[in-house]
This record gives sequence, C-alpha cells and structure tokens, in this order.
Amino acid sequence: MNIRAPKDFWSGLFFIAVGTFFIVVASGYRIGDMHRLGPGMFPILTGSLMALLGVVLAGRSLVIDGEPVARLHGRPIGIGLLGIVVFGLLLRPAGLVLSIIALVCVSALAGKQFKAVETLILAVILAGLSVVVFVWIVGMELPLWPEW
Amino acid sequence: MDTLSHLAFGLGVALTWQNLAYCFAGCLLGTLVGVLPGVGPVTTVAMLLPFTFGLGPAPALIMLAGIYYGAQYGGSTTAILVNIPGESSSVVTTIDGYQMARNGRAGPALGIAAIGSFIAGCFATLVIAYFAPPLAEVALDFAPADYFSLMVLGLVASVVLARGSLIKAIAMVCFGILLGLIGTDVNTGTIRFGFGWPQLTDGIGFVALAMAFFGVTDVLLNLEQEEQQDVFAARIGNILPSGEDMKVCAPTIARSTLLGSILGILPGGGALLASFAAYMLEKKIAKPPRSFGSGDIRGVAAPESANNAGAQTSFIPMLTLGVPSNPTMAMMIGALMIQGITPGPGVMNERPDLFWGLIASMWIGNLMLLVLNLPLVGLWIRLLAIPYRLLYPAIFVFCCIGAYSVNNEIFDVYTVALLAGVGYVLLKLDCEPAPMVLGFVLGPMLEENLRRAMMLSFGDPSVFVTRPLSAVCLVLAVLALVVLALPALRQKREEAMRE
Repeated sequence: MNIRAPKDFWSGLFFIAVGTFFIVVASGYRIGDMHRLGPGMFPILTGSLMALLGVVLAGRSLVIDGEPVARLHGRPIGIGLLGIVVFGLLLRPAGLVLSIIALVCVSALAGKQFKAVETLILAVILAGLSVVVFVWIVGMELPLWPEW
Repeated sequence: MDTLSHLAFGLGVALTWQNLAYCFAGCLLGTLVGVLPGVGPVTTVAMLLPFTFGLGPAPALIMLAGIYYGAQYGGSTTAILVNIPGESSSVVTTIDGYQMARNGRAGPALGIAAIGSFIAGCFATLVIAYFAPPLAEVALDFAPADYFSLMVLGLVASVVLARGSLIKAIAMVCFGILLGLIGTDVNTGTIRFGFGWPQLTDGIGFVALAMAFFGVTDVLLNLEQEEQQDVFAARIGNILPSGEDMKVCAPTIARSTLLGSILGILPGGGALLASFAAYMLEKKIAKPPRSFGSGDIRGVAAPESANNAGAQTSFIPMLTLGVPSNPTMAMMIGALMIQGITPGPGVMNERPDLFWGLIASMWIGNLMLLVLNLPLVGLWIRLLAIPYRLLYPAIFVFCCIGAYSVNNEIFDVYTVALLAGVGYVLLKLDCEPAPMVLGFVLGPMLEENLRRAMMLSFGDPSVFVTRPLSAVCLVLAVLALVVLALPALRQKREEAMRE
C-alpha cells in the first residue's frame, strides 16, 4: 500500500497517537454517569473524536493524492529551540544578564547570516534593556548575576 | 443610564493619565508590529500578556486592545510601500496599494488607509456601545446548554475560516481542548494528565502556549525564508488624498465599514474575513471607471476600513458572551482570567469601568493612531530597514522572560520550546494553530457547561435540542460543516482563500 498524501498521512498518525494517549490516560479517571459526568468522560469523548479524525485522514491518504511534506529545516529549529533551553538552564544559576547573552548568541546562529560582533553587541543591548525594563521598571524579581 | 452617559462615564475612565498612557503605548506598539513583517498582533499580545499582570484589568485590556487595532493601521503601511502585508488582514491591501505606490501615489494610498480606518474605528466604537449591552442582557438568561452550543458554534466557525483541510482543523480544535484540560479538574479536584509533575497542577500556561505557537514557531518559519528585499524607496509626497479621491471613496468607506462591523461580530469573524469580503464587494459593485488590481484607491479604502471595523466589533462576543471569535480575542480572555475576571455577560454590570473604559479608549486610540500614522509615516518606513536577524533574537528574549515571569517557573520556558517544536511540525503538515488556541481557551468552559447542563437535565441529553437557542446554534454548526463538506462549495472556498 502506498502513501499517496504524505501530509495527511503523518498528521493523521499524529492525531491518532495523541488522541489514543489521552483516552488511555483518561480511562484511569472516574467516568461518571450521564447525570454526573466524571473527570474522565469529556477527555475520552474529545480524544475519541480526535483519533477518529486521524483515522479518516490517514485512511484517505492511502486513496487520494496529496502534497508531499515540505522540507523540515533542522538547523533553524534545532538551534532556535536549543537557545531557549539554554536560557532555561542558565537562568537560575547564572542570572538574567548572562542567560540573555547566551540566548541571543545561540539563537543568532539559527539564521542564515551570522555576524559575530554584531550579535555580541545586540546581546549586550538586549540584556541591558531587559534589566532596565523588566527588573527596574516592571519590578520582576530575577537574579541579575550568578550567586557565588 | 442611557448609552451616551455610559460613554461619558467611559471617557472619564479612559482619560485618566494612566489609562491614556497605556492606550498610547498599545497604539504605538500595535503600529510598530503592524509595520514590521513577521511580527503580528497575536504574537505581540502574547508577548505582552505577562507584563500586564501588575497593571489592573482596565489598563491591561486598554493596552492590549490598542495593539490589536493599532496593528490594523500599521499593517497597511507595509502593504502599500513594500508589497508585504505587515500582518494578515492587510493581504488584500497589497493588491491595489502597492500598485498605487508604483504609480507614484503612495501618499494618497497611505492617507486614505488611515482616514478610512479612522472613520471605521469611530463607527465600530458606537456599534459596540449600542449593541453590546442588550446582547449581554439577553446572555444573562443563557443556560449552560445554550453556552455549550454557542461555544461549539464558535469553534466550528473558526474551523470554517481556517485555511486548508476541514478535518485537520477540527482535529486541531480537539488537540487544543485536550491540552486545555491538563491540570486540576475544578469539579472533583482530580489532577488530570499531570504525570506527577507539580508544575502541571495548574495546567499548561496560556502564555507559554501562545508564545510557542505564535511567537517562536513564526520565527522558525521566517528563518527558512530569504531575507526580505529592499523597501520601495519612492517619494511618498502629499499624504492627503485629493477631494476627488475622497468623493470616490466615501461610499466605499461607508459600505466597507458597515460590512466589516457585521462580519466582526460573527463567531469566527474578525479583521481578516472583513478585509477580504469588503474588497470583493467593492470590486463587484463600485461605480466605473474601475481599475481594481492596477491601483484603484477604492481597493485600499475598502479593506482598510473593513479590517479596522471588524477588529473592533470582534470585541462584542468576547465582552458580552465570553466567547472569543479569533485568536487575539482568545488572548484577551486569557488576560481577563489572569486578572481574576470571568469573561461573560456579568462583566458589564460588575465592572462597568472596565467595559465602558475600554470602549471609550478605542475611540481615543483611533484618534491617536491618526496622528501617529499620517505625520510619522516616514519614521515607520525607516523601521522596515531593520534586518530580521536583529529582530528575532529580541522576540526570543521577550518570549523567554515572559513565559518565566508568569509563575517564576523555568518549567514554563521549557514548555515554550517543546510546544514550539510541535507547532512547527504541525504547520509543516498544514495544521493551523488558530483553531487549536481557541480550543485551548474554550475547552475547560465547554466541559464545565456540558457538565452543568447534564446535571440540570438529570442526565437527559435532549436538553441541547429542546432549548431553542441551543438548538439553533447546533443546527447552524451542523449546517456550516455539511455545506463545507460539499465538494463544489469547498472548491469555491479555496478559490476565495487564494484570491
């Protein structure tokens, strides 16, 4: 059997997987009866609809033609998301200033053009602005520098 | 009190220095994001949500609203001068606006866009002031079954307007609902889908979700495209349209304002739909000589008036029923809930300052925008020169700090990264995030109203078809789905979306 509409096929599989997952987890909660719906009922109903639609999508993709999946660009997404994770990892131990500089430098690598000096200047400016706006003006409680 | 004295009361609220300042800030930011391609109003509202917590509900909502309608003004500038829609509801404006700019008439195009927007904004403000209160009055009598069906209708409408496959859009709504159910169940105290993580007790943060799907995902997609081309550098010249232009455009502005106001109120409606519909209508009925497509000034006046009217009247269902008609309104609901206010018909009576202050601020904001846009247009054009590689790290910084600041929780930062990855893959599979976000916001309310309705009817599901309003909503929802599923009409819709 050939997959003739890859976009539909893969999104169908995604909906089936997520829908089934929620159904399985939700069946561990009380279902209740028609008068008093338990916490399990609504998620099971919604998950079933989602999985059903996934089945339709995936099934249909074997019969009718559709577009191929557009290329996934690994570099921007990988590096971009890495930048955010790095920010999360650094924030508590290293403070706001250093984690912003790290975030900007890492995520700048995700673009097509990377200019080291320009990026560093941008990082310092954004870190400075964030401290002024978020910590001094808005009054957010964030550690600015590493605590040691 | 009648409407005028309500408005006067609202003006009193909106004209305090603090609220004026936030209204101005919102309009300024809105124009800015409208001008900058790749940063839309939804993203901006999402990024600024966390910073409105400390403001109090009225200034927060006033500022966020300013961003939304301000973006409608700003979007036209980019559309006309660079042929890039600064945001989605200006797509139609590019058709005739850019042609006008190439013919050396960029000035009048910008002028008529601002004037049309202003007239539409003023009218839409009055529409809200006159129509929202009676609607809220009626809504006070809605039973849980009515609400449930109304929300179903709203979700179906959002699906109808999504691009691409109907099935995918409905599945995305389901996905949003399921994500919205994560956390403590208010009725029983059961923690659902928490998997032992204490951070999930209160559910996935709305801010983190919005930033992931509308901030980070957008950036990731933009990074795949080439850096944008050069700005159309022609002289803008006199911005004020000639008397002749005004005469030609007057009926167009009037019709488009009316059409936009109506389409904004409908569930699933808003600025985008309004701008498309108004352009098509004018193309059909405008008096000759018609030159639509090659720089007709009415082709700028129509979408720009309609999108501003639609942007503002889409506040009506949000303010009176608590049902958002588009993702930006879903953000507003999120903002209200974070402030501890339950959106719905009660807001008008319990918080008249919020309701009337917001409406009055819209009128003031439109006035501010006229000043911001006409004389300062040269400044906005220069902003277009900012390369995207300097812009997107700033968006990342905003998203990270914003997500963290909601609960001072690093977990939320990781949530952004995870959901952005999911959102990116889904977009590549042609699954739009807008229906998902609406599902996320409406999910818990849907469940709550379903449970209450079943409780009140002692487990009899026929309550959904025996209550007239509920029945009408469900019938409309089913009709919309059936009509859309018919192959012939689906083709028409796809054509309309492409145009």
